Amino acid sequence: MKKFFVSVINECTKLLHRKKYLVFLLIGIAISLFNVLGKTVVGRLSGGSFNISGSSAPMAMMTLFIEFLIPLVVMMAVCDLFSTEYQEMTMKAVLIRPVSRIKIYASKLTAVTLLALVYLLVLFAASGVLDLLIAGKIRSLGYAFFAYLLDIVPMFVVILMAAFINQIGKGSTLAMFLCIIVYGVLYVAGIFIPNLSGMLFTGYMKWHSLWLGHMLPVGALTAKTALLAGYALVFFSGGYYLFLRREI
Amino acid sequence: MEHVLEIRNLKKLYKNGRGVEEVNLTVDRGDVVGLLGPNGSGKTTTMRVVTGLSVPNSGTVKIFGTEIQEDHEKAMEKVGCLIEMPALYGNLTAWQNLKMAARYYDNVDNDRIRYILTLVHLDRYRNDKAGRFSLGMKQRLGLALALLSDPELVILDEPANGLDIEGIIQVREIITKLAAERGVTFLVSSHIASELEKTCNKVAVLHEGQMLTFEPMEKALEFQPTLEDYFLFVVREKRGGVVL
Repeated sequence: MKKFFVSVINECTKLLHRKKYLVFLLIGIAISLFNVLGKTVVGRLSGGSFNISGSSAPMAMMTLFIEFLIPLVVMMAVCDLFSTEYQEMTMKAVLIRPVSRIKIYASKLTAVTLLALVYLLVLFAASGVLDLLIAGKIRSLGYAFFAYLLDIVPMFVVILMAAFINQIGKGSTLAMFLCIIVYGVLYVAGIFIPNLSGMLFTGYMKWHSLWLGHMLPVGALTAKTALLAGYALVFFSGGYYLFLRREI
Repeated sequence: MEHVLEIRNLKKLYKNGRGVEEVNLTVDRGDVVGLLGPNGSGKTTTMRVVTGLSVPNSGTVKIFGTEIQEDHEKAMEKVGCLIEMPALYGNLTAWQNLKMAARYYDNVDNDRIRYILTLVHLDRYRNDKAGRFSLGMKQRLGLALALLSDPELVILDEPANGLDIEGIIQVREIITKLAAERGVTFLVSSHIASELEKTCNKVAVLHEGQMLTFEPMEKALEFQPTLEDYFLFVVREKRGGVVL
């Protein structure tokens, strides 16, 4: 296991040295700031006639973060750790070390999952703090915290999907393009074809809604969990098989 | 004599029909084996398969008795290599590149990294980003990465690539010193016969994907004045005496 943890540290090091991940995090915080500021200013200017600050900032920002910003960031991170490394021939640097390919593959996925977790927690905290500082309220922070935490589950499936796509494409630009297209098509298909929504993993990006508040029956929860696990298994095994056979 | 590397009936052909066939090679501990051949003869292909970067069509590669395709982790434990261009992270410094590789080994600490940087004359540039290095400096850093773990087998593919005269001599000295003092085994490829003649005690000639000969340097030079002449002689023999 030591080699795996070492690999995770190395993969995280690579991500940390790319400034764009900090920039995207700051963009997320800035969006939260504008959201809270906007709601507060509108509320005060209208003398309370327009009260658009119904939910807490973390929950209000959730759709944007969970369904758009963080998926985009994790897809970029996966592309950086796979196709960019293929393209720049740096994948060789790891493959010639005494570490198996399964550990390399798993460590890259773990590093991106950790990045997603950092994003979720920082954006939750930032929007919560802004809500408190500007709007002067703390509302259902506990609920929001667990909601953000639970939503790492579908994010992991997005990471596995992106990793699978990265084993097919040759360049990082193409891989990123394919990831966005596939995610976008599945997301839109879920909206316009409601019957399909329950079958697509993109329909479960707000995974917390199944578990927090009004919970679904156990049978339905099990079925949806199994569906997500199925996607994860297919993407992981397909991606790893291609990674294992890949000539560097 | 312990076999450090054993290649048996190795076949690796690419879609374009190029590659290597029927490569057999046994490298003993302390050997400095040179793979000599022109561009496209299959030197890099052989080394890529040996290090597990490519999957062979058939044949086996054993490093310290472990088959690379079966247990890559164990087989590569005591191996350092530089295959084609050095694999460097351009946005990281020389130190950070070495530190990332060092984490995979228990015996590599910061002192060892400092020592290796000094050995390849890059200690002054340890905090410079590898992406800003010249071709020669990148090659030196690649060499440092290969030697970092104090390996017992070092595989170097065209190590003199991009190096100036001084650099080439330094690489030669490092190979000779490590082989003589530490008993490190080397597999070095080059298309420059004179380089291998100065460093290796055994030579294998690869030509058009086939291994034509593999013998001690002394025997190769028994009837030929230089390794270059030996290479030409071997290739002519293969072509049935037709002059090149």
